[in-house]
Amino acid sequence: MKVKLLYIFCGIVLLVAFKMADDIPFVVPKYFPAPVYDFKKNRLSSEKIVLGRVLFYDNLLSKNQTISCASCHSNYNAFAHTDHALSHGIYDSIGTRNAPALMNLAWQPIFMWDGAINHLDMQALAPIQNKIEMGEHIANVVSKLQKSPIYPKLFYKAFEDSIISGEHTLKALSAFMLTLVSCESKYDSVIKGYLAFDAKEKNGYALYKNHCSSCHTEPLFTNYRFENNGLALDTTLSDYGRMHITKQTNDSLKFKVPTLRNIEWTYPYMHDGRFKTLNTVLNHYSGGIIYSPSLSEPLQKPISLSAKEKVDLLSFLLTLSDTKYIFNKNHSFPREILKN
Amino acid sequence: MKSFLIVFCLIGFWQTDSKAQQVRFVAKYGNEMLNTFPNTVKGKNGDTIEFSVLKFYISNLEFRKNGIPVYSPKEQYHLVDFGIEHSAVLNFDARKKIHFHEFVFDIGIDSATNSAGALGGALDPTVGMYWTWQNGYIHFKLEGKSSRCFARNHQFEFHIGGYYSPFNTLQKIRIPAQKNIESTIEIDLAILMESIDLATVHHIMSPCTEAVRFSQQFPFIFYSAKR
Ligand code: HEC
Ligand code: HEC
Repeated sequence: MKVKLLYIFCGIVLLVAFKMADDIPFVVPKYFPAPVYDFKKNRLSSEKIVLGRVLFYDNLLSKNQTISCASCHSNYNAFAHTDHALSHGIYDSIGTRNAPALMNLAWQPIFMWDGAINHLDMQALAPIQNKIEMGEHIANVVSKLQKSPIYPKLFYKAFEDSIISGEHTLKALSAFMLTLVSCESKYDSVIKGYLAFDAKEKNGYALYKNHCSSCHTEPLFTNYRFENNGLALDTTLSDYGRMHITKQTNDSLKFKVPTLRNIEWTYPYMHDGRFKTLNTVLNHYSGGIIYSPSLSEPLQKPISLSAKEKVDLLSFLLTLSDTKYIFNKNHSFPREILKN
Repeated sequence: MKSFLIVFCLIGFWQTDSKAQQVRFVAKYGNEMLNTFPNTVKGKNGDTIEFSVLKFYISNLEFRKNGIPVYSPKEQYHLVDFGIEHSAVLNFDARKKIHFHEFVFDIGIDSATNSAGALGGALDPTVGMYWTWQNGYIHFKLEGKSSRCFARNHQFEFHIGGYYSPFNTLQKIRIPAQKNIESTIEIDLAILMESIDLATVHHIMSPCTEAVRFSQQFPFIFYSAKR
């Protein structure tokens, strides 16, 4: 009897030990704040991350098996949708907003241009069930996954449960997206003291600190707040941003501040992709600001940048490009598991 | 082997000792019982109303005596779906016999849970009670058709949710309880339907003033069945 109990006890200890070993620590760069994502509720393991990655690249998530998350969020563009001002979904539908770049999502407290989504886990539901994005229903996605030859095994490895649920599907997608950390740009090397800015970049950094950092705050290059940066309303889209959610008029024309990291690759810019190049963005901030009652405070006073200053600011912005992020093999199409 | 027997006996003993506490929800339209969904009734205004969907969350249920909680089930969130057999009957294992005068519960999901990320069981998004183009649970869903409704196909759809001010639609319900093991709570949809003008309000699909107004009727539609 005693021996049996001992066996059971050892078994439990072993199980616990294995579970601990499976957890992958989430590494936070020293100069980053603490992440907001609660990893206690969704522990990272390599099995879960792999599952999330496969889901992210699988067309099965859409109604007619043509669109995956990666259709609009491509790893070579820091997970933005390059060349598409407005996102391009199922049956060639055109959406109403530009697909944002995805990175450093563990630090992001709120999602979508208007903050419609409050938690990374719930984000995937929006495109899956949007009639012009993936046109599916999560219950149907789960039943397709359950019938597939590969997923029950992958879910078992990740969650010790081959019965697939909406919760586990969403948590696996989060696990993968949480690993999308970009912190190896030239800027990061300078902050860590391994490299130095050249003269142009240094001047650009000073200009950035002067004019841009109140909203695009270091080290994430966004404060994740909702601001009106003086864009004219596009009357064909009539997108009032944050006001759509809060229904408060003082939130009119406010959008979530996007990060400037990897900005070189995430064109076109702004919530509707109206600007194709960074030069047009700089021209907007220096002379193109449209006044409206909700215009954010830091932009009330006109910014005037000379041609040289624009060049310098641009060269600083290019130090935020993280090629290791773009070419990270762990983020790309999981060829070893999925066929196209 | 012997030890197994003892374990079995113990389990058996616990089971007979524990008290199953049952709360059954019954939908009505005035005095008419709506046993199966969809269900068609003669409306109070001479129209016909077909109810096709009635689904809502019951959460943080407490059995109270003299205002003090005497029992709160471990399972915090329950989805009552009149389209699914038995889902309107909640069974609790109260361990010991409890005496209580009052039920207190929420219709819907509290704001902390609304912001907690992906959850399972009754809260799994596959049960169809989570908004997707924005966040938040749908606390209460009522769908159907009425000849009085001017919308397409005479359909009405009320998806009531919202967990932040000023559109918080979570409602606390307190109702006196009959002192017995099986309690029945009735829901009178007639009160709800009479509180809205179907000619103008037939779709509520997001947190808004209309949703708040709709939810304010909840405390009046739930009551204990008199035996
Ligand atoms: C049809 C194109 C399309 C598809 C497919 C798509 N997305 Fe998106 N994604 C967008 C657009 C557009 C937005 C911004 C929408 C908005 O703000 O209204 C967005 C926003 C996001 C965000 C929030 C980013 C931020 O900074 O707020 C995340 C995270 C995300 N998508 C993940 C996913 C995942 C996971 C999938 C697959 C389940 C997916 N997307 C599929 C177009 C798409
Ligand atoms: C008051 C806050 C604020 C300030 C100051 C500000 N921005 Fe922005 N920025 C925003 C917001 C908000 C957006 C998104 C607006 C939208 O899409 O409607 C944005 C968007 C951008 C984008 C497009 C990003 C993308 O992914 O589409 C770039 C590039 C940019 N800003 C650069 C700058 C630069 C350079 C400066 C300084 C000269 C600056 N910003 C100052 C708030 C600000």
